[in-house]
Amino acid sequence: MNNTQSNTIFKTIRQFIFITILLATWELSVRLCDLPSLLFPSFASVIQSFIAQTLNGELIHRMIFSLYLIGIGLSIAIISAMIITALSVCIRWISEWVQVLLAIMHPLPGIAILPIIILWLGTGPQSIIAVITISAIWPVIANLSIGLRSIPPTQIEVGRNLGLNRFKLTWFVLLPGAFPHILSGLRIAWARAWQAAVAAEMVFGASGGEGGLGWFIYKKRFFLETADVFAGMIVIVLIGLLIERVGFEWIENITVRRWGMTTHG
Amino acid sequence: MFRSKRLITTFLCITLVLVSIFNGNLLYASRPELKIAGQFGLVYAPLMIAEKLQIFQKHGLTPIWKEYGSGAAVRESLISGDADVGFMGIPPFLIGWDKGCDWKVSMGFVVVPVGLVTNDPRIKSLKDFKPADKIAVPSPGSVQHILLSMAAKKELGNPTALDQNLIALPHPDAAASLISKRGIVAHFTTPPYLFEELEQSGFHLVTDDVRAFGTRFSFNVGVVTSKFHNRRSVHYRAFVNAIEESMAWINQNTKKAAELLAPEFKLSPEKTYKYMTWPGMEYTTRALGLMGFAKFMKEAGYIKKVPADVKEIIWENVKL
Amino acid sequence: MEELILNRLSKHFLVNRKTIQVFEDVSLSIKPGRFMTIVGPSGCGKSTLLRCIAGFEAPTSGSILMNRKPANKPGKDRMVVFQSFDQLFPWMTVLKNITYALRVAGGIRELDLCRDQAIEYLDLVGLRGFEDFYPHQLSGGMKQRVAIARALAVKPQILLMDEPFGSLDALTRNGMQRELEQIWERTGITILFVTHSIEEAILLSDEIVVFQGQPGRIKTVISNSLPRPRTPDMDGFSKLWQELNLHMGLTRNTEDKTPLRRITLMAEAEILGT
Repeated sequence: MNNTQSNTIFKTIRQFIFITILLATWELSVRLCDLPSLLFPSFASVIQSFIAQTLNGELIHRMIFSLYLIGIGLSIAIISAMIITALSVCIRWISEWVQVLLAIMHPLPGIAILPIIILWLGTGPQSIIAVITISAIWPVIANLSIGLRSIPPTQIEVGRNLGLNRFKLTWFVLLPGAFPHILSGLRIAWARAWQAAVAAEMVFGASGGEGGLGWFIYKKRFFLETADVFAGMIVIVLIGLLIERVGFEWIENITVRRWGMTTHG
Repeated sequence: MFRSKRLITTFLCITLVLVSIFNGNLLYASRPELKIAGQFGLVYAPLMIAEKLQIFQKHGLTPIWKEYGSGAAVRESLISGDADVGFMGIPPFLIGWDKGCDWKVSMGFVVVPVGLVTNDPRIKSLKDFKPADKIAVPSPGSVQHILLSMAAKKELGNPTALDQNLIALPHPDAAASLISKRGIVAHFTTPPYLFEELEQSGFHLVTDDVRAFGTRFSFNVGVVTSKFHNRRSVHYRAFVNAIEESMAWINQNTKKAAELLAPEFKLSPEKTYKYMTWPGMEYTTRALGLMGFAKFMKEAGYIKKVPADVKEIIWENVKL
Repeated sequence: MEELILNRLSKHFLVNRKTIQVFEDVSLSIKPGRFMTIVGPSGCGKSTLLRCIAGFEAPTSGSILMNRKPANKPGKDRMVVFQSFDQLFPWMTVLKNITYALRVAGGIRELDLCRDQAIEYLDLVGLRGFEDFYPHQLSGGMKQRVAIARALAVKPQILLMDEPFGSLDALTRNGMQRELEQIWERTGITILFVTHSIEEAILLSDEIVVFQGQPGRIKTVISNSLPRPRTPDMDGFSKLWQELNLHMGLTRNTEDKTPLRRITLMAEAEILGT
């Protein structure tokens, strides 16, 4: 326990040093080689515009809007995935349909169907939410059904032996049993939703008043504010890291890892 | 044996790298290739005709075409050195110049009508746009965006009054949305979309280029970097001459030009001809409206400086 | 008088439109507090018989009576201890595995009471102090002890054990057999135990049901009155061992039945979902 803890600390320190070296190389090469700031702004100027755009509220506003869209899209994806999975557990032909749909849709990046979504739903936030939902729903469904299938049958029989009804069996045995897969499904779903949200906004730009980080970058690109583009990317990276490293890692530590149910590593 | 083999390989690699570097610099001036970045559409008819009639080749140039989806992408390809010349609107050019891009305008490139079309009979002027009404422009900082800004200043007193209504959509998507009445109520656009949209019943113009800007102006300009202009001056002249020849040919043989280009636009020759000769369309290399845009964009805050003299932003050959 | 009565029980599966008889015409009864073992070669249908009694599978014909009432659904009066180590819920601690069973099947609402009773049963299986461990932190033998404690905590009338020590190493297995015997003596619970080990059957049970054939039938029931605690080197052990071996060995080398047995095994595997 102690050993792994100190290992993680060393790993973090090493990563930190690596990132510092990377940033220093960036700054130095910009300064020494006199690269045009339009192509490659210096790290200092990126930080400057990051601070400026944070203080004037624009970055925060954009970030909140992106997260808001992702929140809606992910919630719809998770709830519909649960309903679809529940239906396909109960009804055989639904399950076959879902398998076929999954095989077709899972490899398709959500952003690829954006043109169709625009035709059907127009260009407002609802289209971005639709792209997020479609990007996120398939990994959730796939992992949910893999998770349910991976539960040892004896555990289900123990549940039946204890007299659990269908609902209790699902809630207290099937869901926790499938949780490791559900969690990795959510991880993939989150990553895909995040990518979809930013990408969708960069394709059709959303509307001025209600754009997220993708729109921020998109707009800054057209005004050649390269340092601001970098600042937007930094926020995207930071949020991604925060959710992945702090959020999911934490959930994994207090659940799957504690239970010894890790599916990988 | 093994060691010497490796030495030779290393040596060869280094030589190759050095040669390619010197090659790039030494041969840059003498290569006849001309990398041209532009977009697709009626506006680019002079380039397409030049390609069909091999006009660049006649002037000793080997054109390499690079087609992009937006003015910003054209601009980026010039900045990164992927293109020698690029065609873009005056505002994207000025934004680049303001940010320190080392380039100038080499020619005007087509005057076209630009208009704000709406599918909503209720909207008669800019005042009638409600906050939820979406107005599509190709991109932020595009000619259409700046024109909308100008019109907003004139009619509503504030250049950014309609910025919250903006939505960035490529022309085909915006035209489809407008015609299917989904999502957007207005589209600031150019031919052929402008013509096609206006043919829909109930669709009408809210404002146009002349009302917003005051006069006609070059919708696109040919932008050339100092590097290309100064180090390959022979090719620069050849490029300008080629475009002028192509334009002259279009103006003299418009019917034939329409027949040649119709398949490219997937239109009938008659329709292509009609669009090419629409009132307000003019194929000319005069550069119109440069200072007007610069002054307005400075005032509205899109750029930070205005050229003290138009010579700062045009090459010596440009006719105003 | 009899706690569990099996009356002319038969079971067949349909595999690829072929009917596979698993066991046939099984009639048995157990009196309260007895330790009965069903012993037979693998694939003779003894596990399926136990699963029918547990209510996980329905017999094709015949009836199962618990205290004169038909038992055709799983119930907490017949708790099962399985062979596999994954029968504990991995997301619950050892204590939680038992308190959860107590809450849902024992109907105890008070948390303190649940906890006290769970610790009592952990004590019984010798796992006091492991309350806050998660199953993955336990050895195979410890997991089986927790499973036994959990099953007992619900206070079933009969404990159905399906080769519970089948995956343990020989040493652990011997220790567990001794402890199970002690637990049985202390709690007075009725146990129906399935094994393919003749030695295990002799060491543990009062009555030994020899199950064999394709489909499985009861060959004979032998009562075992050797004094407890038993050891393999005690008087009478080897005599009983030989007798049982004879009963089982007689049909072992009938090679012509092997293909059929493989199909039965496949059928069984499919039903078990493995």
